[in-house]
Amino acid sequence: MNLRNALRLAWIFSLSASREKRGKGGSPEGLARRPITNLVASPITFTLTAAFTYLVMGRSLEPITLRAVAYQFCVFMPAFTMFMSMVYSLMTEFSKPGNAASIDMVNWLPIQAGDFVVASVVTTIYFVLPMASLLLGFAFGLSLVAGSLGLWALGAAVSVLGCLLGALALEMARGAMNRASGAFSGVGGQWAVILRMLLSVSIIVVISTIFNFSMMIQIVSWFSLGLEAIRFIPILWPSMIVLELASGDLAGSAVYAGLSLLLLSAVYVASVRVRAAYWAPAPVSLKMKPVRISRSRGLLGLLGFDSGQAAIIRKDLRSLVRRREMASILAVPVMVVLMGLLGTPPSVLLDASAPLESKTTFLFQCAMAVVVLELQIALTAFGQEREAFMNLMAAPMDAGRLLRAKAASVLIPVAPALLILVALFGRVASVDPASLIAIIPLGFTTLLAVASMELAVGAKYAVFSSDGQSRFVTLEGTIIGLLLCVATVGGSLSPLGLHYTLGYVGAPIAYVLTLALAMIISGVCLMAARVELERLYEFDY
Amino acid sequence: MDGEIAVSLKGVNRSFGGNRAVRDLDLEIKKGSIHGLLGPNGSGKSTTMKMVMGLLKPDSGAIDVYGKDPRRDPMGVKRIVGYVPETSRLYEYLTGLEYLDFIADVYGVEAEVKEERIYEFLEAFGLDGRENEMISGYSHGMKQKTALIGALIHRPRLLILDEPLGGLDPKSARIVKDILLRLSREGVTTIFSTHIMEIADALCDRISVLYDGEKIGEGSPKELREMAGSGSTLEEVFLLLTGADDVADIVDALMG
Repeated sequence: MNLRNALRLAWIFSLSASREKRGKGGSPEGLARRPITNLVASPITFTLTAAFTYLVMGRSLEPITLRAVAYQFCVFMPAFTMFMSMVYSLMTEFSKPGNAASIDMVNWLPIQAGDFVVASVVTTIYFVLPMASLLLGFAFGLSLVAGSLGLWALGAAVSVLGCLLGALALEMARGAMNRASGAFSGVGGQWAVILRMLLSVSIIVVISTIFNFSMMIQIVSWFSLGLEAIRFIPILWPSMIVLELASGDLAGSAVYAGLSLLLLSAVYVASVRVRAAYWAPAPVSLKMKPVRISRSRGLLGLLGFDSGQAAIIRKDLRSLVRRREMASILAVPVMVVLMGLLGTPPSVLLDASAPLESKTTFLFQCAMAVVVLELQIALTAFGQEREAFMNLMAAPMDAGRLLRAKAASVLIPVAPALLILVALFGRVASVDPASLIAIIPLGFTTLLAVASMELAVGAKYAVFSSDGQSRFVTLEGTIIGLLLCVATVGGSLSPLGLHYTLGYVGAPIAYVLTLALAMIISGVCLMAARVELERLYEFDY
Repeated sequence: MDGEIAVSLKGVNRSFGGNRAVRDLDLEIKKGSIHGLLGPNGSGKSTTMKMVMGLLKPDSGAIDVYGKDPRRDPMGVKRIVGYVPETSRLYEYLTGLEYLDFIADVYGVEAEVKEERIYEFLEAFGLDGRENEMISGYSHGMKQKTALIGALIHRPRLLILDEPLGGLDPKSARIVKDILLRLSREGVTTIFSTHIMEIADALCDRISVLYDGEKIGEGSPKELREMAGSGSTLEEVFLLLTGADDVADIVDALMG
């Protein structure tokens, strides 16, 4: 490995990600487009968070509670940062199309796999820095009041190790994904496409589970091994360095430091080997079963879509199951459900006599999975078109028709998920059939509101260029989309929330108000989406 | 060719930021003619084509396409235009057949004629037998052919082709040339840009030479050749007009 090459490459990757352009004609501009922004934003984030925690939260907690919270944060900081770097990579780095990555300049320059892995890891840490500063600042504020700054300093230092492990794990996942998608090249049939997608999703889920500390703790507790068993969970070894030192066991801390470094070396070697073996994703050529040219609009026609809209919907559904870069969109909801299942075993879920409180976390996570699935599909609905969006711009397809087709492309895959969720509520929470039927329109209107909101955000922040490390949506758009999704769900369901928490309004009125509010939000957001979409007609792709 | 004007541009300007991509451009293209746009990279050819089909709005000036203003009636213009951008932009996760079916549906081609047309074109361009493969596995030339079929599938009245022959093998390039000539005889107007002078010479009824966003020359290939003196080639005319006739000196300087 050549460190100089690796650092130069890391700089190029950072520039590429910072300067991502929405289209061909766009040019990088503004403070947010400069790589230096991250370096400036991180200390500011750290200082503000630390000051806020010190002044507000630190003073409002009991001293004993405060010391316990500060202790826990410092100990688990490395595990948190590991999780952060993984989630960041998962959400942003997997949307690069295989055919673009395969012709990257990096493939034909004399760069070794080790250089590439180090550069990629450094870039990930660089972009995770502002988020990590938030965590470090929070723990610093608490430690300052609790008088445990030494513990914080150690936790912060070991957090670098956590970040490295998280970023390397995702590097491994990327290499494995290249292998998985390449394995199906030349194979024929719809099953090959489905298997390829299932394998890609499984790789992300398995690697994310192995490196997710909360999931690992759940698995350990599932097997009744007791908390002592967390000592044998490798991803928690960096945290054990802090824990052992805090309890005065210097030798134990040294052992875990050694074990952590061994783990880091092993993951690094594995990442480099996987990267070297499966360097770039080969453009996959799959021979599909001969299809009949569509002679009618079929079910979509019955639903009121014209032939052009039906064609867009069919294309988008194919995109969802065929493209390697869509795997993370499907993997994240699977992970959310999996976390819920690990937290509440099926024996409890299926036990009708078990109290509802023991099942609410699982049900909440399942509902969240449906919303997350929809959020991702809607937010990326326009960006995933990439430069081929030109086909739609050049065609006689106005913004209104295109928007209706895109909304349907979002709601069609989410609707079965909603029905499964409702059925799950009926089985697990023993809800009567009449209430279940009432939940369906409620769920659908809420999902319509989220879809409309995210289509508007997705149109405004879509990235059509597939150059460099580009995503489907800008980082700024992803953050805004997440925040507005929470606001939309909260806003839509607020009448019901008021009924159940404060009893301000009766159930029937709350129900009708919720439906009405969701429809109003949908209408306003669809109008906003249309305005944004019309602006895209003037875009240079 | 009946002499009627299919496309006209009058005093058209378009800037990107501070960069004026097209300046005071006047063009008149007759129905059924093949009109070539020649010019070095960045001369405004692609911007002009995008403005004609309503993908970009001009800052000032007027454009008329078969009696329609692309600014006021972009959908009306798009319905009668077939467009191939300079780099083919296809949905790589679709098969060739699925892509063409998609394009035909988006343009509203009737279901009864769609299948026949698609297979006719696939056979003509030598893509039959490969139509059920994903486009991601196609070569550059195959992608270009697919994009061309996509532009022709709805029988447009105006074809706008940005470097349509790039990456095509000689046989396919010949097929495209023959198709354009046949379409011209049927009254279809074609605007196309190219860097290949032989093709421009052989195909175009008229040629406009663009340089730095301005039209610096126009005429039939014969008229342009005569401008540069008897016995000149179109390439010499092009180099003379665009001020790049000192290439020999540049090569000498580079090679020492």
